[in-house]
Amino acid sequence: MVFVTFAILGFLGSASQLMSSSALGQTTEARKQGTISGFVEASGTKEPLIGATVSIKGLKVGAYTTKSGFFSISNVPSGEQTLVVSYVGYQRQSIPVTVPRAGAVKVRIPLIADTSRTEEITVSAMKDEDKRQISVSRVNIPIEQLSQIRIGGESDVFRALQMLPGVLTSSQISSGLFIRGGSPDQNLVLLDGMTIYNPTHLFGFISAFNSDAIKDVDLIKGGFPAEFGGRMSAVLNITQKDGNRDHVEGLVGLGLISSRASIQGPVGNGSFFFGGRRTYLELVLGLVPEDPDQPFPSFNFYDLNGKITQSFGEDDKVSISGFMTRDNLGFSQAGLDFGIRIGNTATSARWSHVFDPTVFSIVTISANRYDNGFDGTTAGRAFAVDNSIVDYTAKLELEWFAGDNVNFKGGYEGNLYDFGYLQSFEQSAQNNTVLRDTTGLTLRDETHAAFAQMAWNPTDVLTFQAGMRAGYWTSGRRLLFDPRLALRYQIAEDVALKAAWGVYHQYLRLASAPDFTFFDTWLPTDPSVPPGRADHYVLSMTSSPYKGYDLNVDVYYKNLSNINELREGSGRRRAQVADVFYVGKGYSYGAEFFVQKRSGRLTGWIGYALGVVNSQFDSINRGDWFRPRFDRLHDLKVTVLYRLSDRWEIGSSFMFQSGQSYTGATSTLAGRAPGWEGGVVMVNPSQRWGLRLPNSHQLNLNINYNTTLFELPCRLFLDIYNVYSRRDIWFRSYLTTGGIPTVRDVRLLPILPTLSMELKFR
Amino acid sequence: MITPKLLSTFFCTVLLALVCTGCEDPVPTDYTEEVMIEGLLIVGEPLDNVRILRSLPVTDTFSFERASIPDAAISVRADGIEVPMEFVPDARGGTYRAKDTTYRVRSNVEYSVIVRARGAELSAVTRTPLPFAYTVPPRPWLRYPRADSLLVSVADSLLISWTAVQGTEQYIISLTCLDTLGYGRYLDPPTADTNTRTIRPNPDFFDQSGTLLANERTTIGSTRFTTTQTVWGVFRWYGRYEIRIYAPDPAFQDWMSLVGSGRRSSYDYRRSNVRGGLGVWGSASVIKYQTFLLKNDR
Repeated sequence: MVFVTFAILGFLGSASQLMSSSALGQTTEARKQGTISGFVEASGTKEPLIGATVSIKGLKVGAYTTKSGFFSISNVPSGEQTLVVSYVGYQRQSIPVTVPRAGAVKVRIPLIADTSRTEEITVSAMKDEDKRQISVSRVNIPIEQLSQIRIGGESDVFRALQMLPGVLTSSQISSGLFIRGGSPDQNLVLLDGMTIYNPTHLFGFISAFNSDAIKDVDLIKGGFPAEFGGRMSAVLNITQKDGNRDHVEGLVGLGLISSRASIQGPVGNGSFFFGGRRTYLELVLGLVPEDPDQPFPSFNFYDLNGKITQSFGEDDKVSISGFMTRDNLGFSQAGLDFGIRIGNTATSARWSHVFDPTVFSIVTISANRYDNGFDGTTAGRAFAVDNSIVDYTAKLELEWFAGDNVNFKGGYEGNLYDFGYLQSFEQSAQNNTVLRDTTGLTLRDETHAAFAQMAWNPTDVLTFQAGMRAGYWTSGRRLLFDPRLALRYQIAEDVALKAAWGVYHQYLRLASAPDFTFFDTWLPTDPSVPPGRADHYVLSMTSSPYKGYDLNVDVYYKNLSNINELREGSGRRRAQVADVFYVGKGYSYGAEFFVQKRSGRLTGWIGYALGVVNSQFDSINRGDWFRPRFDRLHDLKVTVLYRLSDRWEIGSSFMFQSGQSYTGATSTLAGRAPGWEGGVVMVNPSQRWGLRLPNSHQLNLNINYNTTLFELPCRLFLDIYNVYSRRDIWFRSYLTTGGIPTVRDVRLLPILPTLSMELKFR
Repeated sequence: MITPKLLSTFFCTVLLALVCTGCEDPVPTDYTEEVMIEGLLIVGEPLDNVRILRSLPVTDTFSFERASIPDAAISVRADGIEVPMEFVPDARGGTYRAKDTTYRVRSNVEYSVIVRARGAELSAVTRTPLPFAYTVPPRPWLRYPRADSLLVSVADSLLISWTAVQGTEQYIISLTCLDTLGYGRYLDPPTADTNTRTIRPNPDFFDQSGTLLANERTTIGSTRFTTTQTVWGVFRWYGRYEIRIYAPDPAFQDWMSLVGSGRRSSYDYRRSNVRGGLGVWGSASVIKYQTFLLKNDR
């Protein structure tokens, strides 16, 4: 591992030498140039702005701000220069800066929110900078757009992501994201650098992320760079708000499913943010008369978000983030009691440091525990399952803005995992004795990864990015290399072609039911199973064919090796990972079209994806290739928000998808146990996922009214979920207890109107 | 000259073409016939009750008579030695058995089968488990708990224990009511009392009324332990019972996981050791004991 780290650092060193000596040709001319670096933040709250464009007026140089709001522009001619800073939703700023000869200048740039939001923002420097950004298959969801996509009055990150083309779920009420043929466990979900293992509530109905606490949502659907690893499909990178550094403010929201509150403000030389949500379904059900023979299950969930950020001088910032979720379900009646518990607890500490104007580092240390449990008693038998994964992570990222046209990024990530699984079964016996059958598994494992990547602009129209990630998996004793390549070529003023290729290995595997996340069990890759691997090939075209409209077309192919499907239980004990999964292979390919309007009165997008997924497992469908459940050929999504006035906004979302596949039946048979005269009728299933349900479509409507209550800003929301009440089939099963098998369709939610409100105070 | 409008027009055309030409997979709804064998070999008992059936259309009521295949070619070998088989018709379509009706299934023997029927060739192998014995057999008389209890008292009279069988992960417990009508005539002194179904508390998780198993005299359960306090709710009638414990091989155990609960609705070929078709070719060793379940419904 040490060898790999040094090898990658060596690659960084030699690459930098190459860039500094010959390719970039730095000469004495460079000594006449300087560097501008600094941070861009919102003027009202001093919240760092992610992805703001910073450029030098009259020059074709510039940068985007990082997740910390940091930017660095090198090779700026010394003397008086004008920085142009822009960000969607904020007024463009022009700031004079004096660049010292062969020196550096630091700036902190506040941007003022553009409350009118009706002007089209066009910045020529921004376009120049855009030409350097590769960003293959990357979608950034504006936070305003995020809050418009709601269910039950609750805005939701995953609901918004599901409205992107190529992002599928197993049903309309599931939050597990299937992206370009990858399953939810193949997505790396990061919150302030912490890996989140179960990002959902309500068994997958809504996401675990309180949208009030979120500042930025970045989804990379494929071809992601070497700085991300450990997953085969996609990266969802979520950044929590630092909090308002200027004044204390809060928010209270009342919804159908839950209510939420948050408060943020300055503290010390920084800020804080605390927020939380909780359901109150059990309180509502408490008011309803209950039949003792058919009691209501009790259910609740809550989540808490917190972040404290402190600056130590101009160059150091430390933030401590916390995230906690808990879902509880209980049921009790004569002879049967059971409870289910699911939760995440995560905390991280991040230290960002500016070594010099061109070198920026982030150190993240995090601890994350995901656990679920199930216990119950019935008819004298008690059973319990406790399952957990604890992940201790240390990550170092170093970014060097080596010049105007080259930057390097490298780092190390180490994970220490504790897996725990305890299953116990007890049965009362004679003389007050208890029979016990206990299976307890604990496993500690660690992984190490080092990465290095370089982005280089050899010309104004060509950007090239190369990276390598090396990972060592201790229990599997495997050293794996993941090369990544990407390039961008500007073929015309407003048209760019992008391409990416990469190898992606996955260490963790998830044993989970497709529709619910009751008992998600994360398992390592032990020597009994080969490592999961995906090869991504992405070709992309971006354009702005009309003013204010962005068009993106992606074509992709993914080759999948050593993917897993849950081995259905036979009641036998499982001693190794290979006993839990079938291991197979697959491929997916498709095309995605995405037209987005990000500014003006009318904002939104239209997305269409054509996708095919195929899998092959020796133990499924007798080894034949098959289209898995989340394979959907057509996927159309439309999201629109229209701002009628300062008070009224109207929004709508529509989706149409090919029907999902299911396992049907081709014939019936009957089997008997010894001593039986009759038999049990069973259907003989079709090929697994071999049949298709009808197409799925749904229209949702949102109306927002901005007003004041007690002179405080207040928003009222009317949401109509599933406007024309089309109840798609969730799953189909066969009932065979009678003579002729009957088909049972379990359908999804009908029309669901909800009224909710949000009150801000300061 | 490539312009954004030209490119977007091109891609919109491609998109339209894809939407128009992209079509769903055809939905396979046709009936597909498959051949099934059901052979559960019990150590120490005759090699009989082997059924060879075909699967029927989903839209039909399943009938053993219509599903039965009487003209199959079946070859059974015990440790490589042929055991001649014959078809025996009955009211439920008929079964296959060893021609030598005195033949008894032996323990720790590999029994293989090859079936050729309706164009299919099925094959399977089972090794019969070792014999075992009761260490605590059922009492000759059991007393059913009061109906207002949850039937889970630890102070009951039904305690059974047996020796472990190497390689067996789950034991199958079978309770067969030997006389659903007679009750009092087995008592001492005899009475005229007739047998009835047991009274169960509500809800009753063992209730299978309304299912095809409602009138079966045999109920099935399973345990990982070599001792059990069988839950009283599995008794459907009072009166004379035979309690059997099976130590199954993996194929037998998998088959019981498919049919044993009586509520599974879908066959799973991964739980079958039969190649080329459906079903099971499994074996088990068995211990059995008769007992009598007394009413206690006062």
